[in-house]
Amino acid sequence: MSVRVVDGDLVTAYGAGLDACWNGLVERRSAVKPLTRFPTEPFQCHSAAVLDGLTYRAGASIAWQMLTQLLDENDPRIPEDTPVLLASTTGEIDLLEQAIDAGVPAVTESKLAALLSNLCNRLGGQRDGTVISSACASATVALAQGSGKIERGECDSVLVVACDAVSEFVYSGFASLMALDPEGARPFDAERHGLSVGEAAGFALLMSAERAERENRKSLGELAGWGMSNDANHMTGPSRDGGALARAIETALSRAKVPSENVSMVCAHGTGTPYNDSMELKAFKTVFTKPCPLFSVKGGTGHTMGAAGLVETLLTLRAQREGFVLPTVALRHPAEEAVGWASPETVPLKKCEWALSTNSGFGGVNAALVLQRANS
Amino acid sequence: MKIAGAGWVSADAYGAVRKQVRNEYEDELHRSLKTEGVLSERVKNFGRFDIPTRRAFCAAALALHDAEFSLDEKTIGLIGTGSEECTQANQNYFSDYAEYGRRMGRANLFIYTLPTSPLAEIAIHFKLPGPLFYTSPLSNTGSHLLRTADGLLAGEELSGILALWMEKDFTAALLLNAAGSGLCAGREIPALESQAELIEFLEERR
Repeated sequence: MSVRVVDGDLVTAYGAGLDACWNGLVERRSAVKPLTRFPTEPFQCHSAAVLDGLTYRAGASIAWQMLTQLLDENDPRIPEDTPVLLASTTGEIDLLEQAIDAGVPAVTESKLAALLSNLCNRLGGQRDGTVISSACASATVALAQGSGKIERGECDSVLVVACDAVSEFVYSGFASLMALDPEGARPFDAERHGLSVGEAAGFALLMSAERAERENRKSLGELAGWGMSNDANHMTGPSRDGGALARAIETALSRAKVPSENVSMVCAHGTGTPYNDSMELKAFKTVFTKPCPLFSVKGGTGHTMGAAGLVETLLTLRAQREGFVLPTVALRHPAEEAVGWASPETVPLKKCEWALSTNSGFGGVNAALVLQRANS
Repeated sequence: MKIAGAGWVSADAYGAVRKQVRNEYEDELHRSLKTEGVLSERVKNFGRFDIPTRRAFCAAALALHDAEFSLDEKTIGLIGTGSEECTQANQNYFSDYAEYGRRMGRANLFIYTLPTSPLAEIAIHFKLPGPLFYTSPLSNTGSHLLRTADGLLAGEELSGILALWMEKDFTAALLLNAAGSGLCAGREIPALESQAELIEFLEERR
């Protein structure tokens, strides 16, 4: 059974809407900029990709402000009977920061379950809801789980909502791991030194083909296959050989019944850390017999953590429809191992029926999606 | 889907359902498990684990041992649920960071600030290469956990799912197979309010 993506939108540091993000990336502009949300003097890095106009630690959380922006524009198109999968790593963690700074033992408000409950109330209807969290592969795993539910006939539509915010909590944590690049993330670059933290919220409405046709929904593309694996290796670092990611990709391709040579482009996780990007290239070289054009959006959007997989899936589906590979923003000199794979330029494609999108994260998680172009 | 083995850890006791283990413990639970042969190898970094991770780890070890499951060349996935998420770890990390002048976070605390952190330590030690994620519904936690495991076993090429239900004072771990022998079929389990009820139900079916 095919699973269609019939609707979707984003808010990112480029602004509200998928178009804003898409245009920024196509124009090779980075949304990473000096960070003023909290003091960064103690850290090795002072930049991030944050949305303008949000208020930090003064009322609603950053995640909720992003979700409100997103849903104000889009929720009339979301059916009342559709269950929600909420993907996030830290959700409204700024509420916990506020409580600790105020000396208040408030813990419940910052839980992902509280965010899910508020989200379901905001969307209305008698809808079922579930939190999915799998580090920086959270949204990808949620998309896979949502597709599985539809494929198994448990429901005929699923709303995947993903969000994560730039907070002092997360920023100081990545800084403690020496994971931030002071010059901004440069995925697959020879001089890359780390990631840039970013924030985003997004949604994707998944439907069975039958329901999509019955409701006359347009198709943005299809989720044709998915695979998940674990490195079982290290809490924060990826495996060195990329074997587990390769296994997730092979599972996704096998489920989609698509040979690797039919894949026209890859949206890589591409964080800009030396180890991640190197691991990914090893995985891709295991799966593909010749270089396949790939891109990472994280030099532009920053690493949007639990939302990354959703941001990247919507952008990849758009790239398939437009017929070209997005440029890897902030890439200047591709690392030797990335030559022939990653490019700072757009790459036109003669055909792009099939694409791959992958994410990995702390705890060794890996997830891969095979995406089919709309109307093919 | 069959429940091949189950282990549990509370604040002062632990057990395994098929092997009919029910013991009390004091400080060093993992040492008791090593003595009893539940843990055959040294647990790297156990001293670094936070309390929820220690309990989850030991419950997982008990479930795997209870099922007499060989880990060789098996693809086992790992899922977890629970209402606590990683809130205590979040508090520990940020309080420590704030207390020490907001100059640098402690990486050893930060790495436990994901709901999947306990699962990741389990996957690393037992070399479990399958899907790994945390999932929490609005209601019916136990049923949701089993349904999610069932969906993964039906759709992925997995030989088993280790499913953990982690609450503040009680962690239960179940090893689930797509087929084969087991305590009972997943669909036989009624909706239950807590992990303790789940373990009691399984013990009655033993």
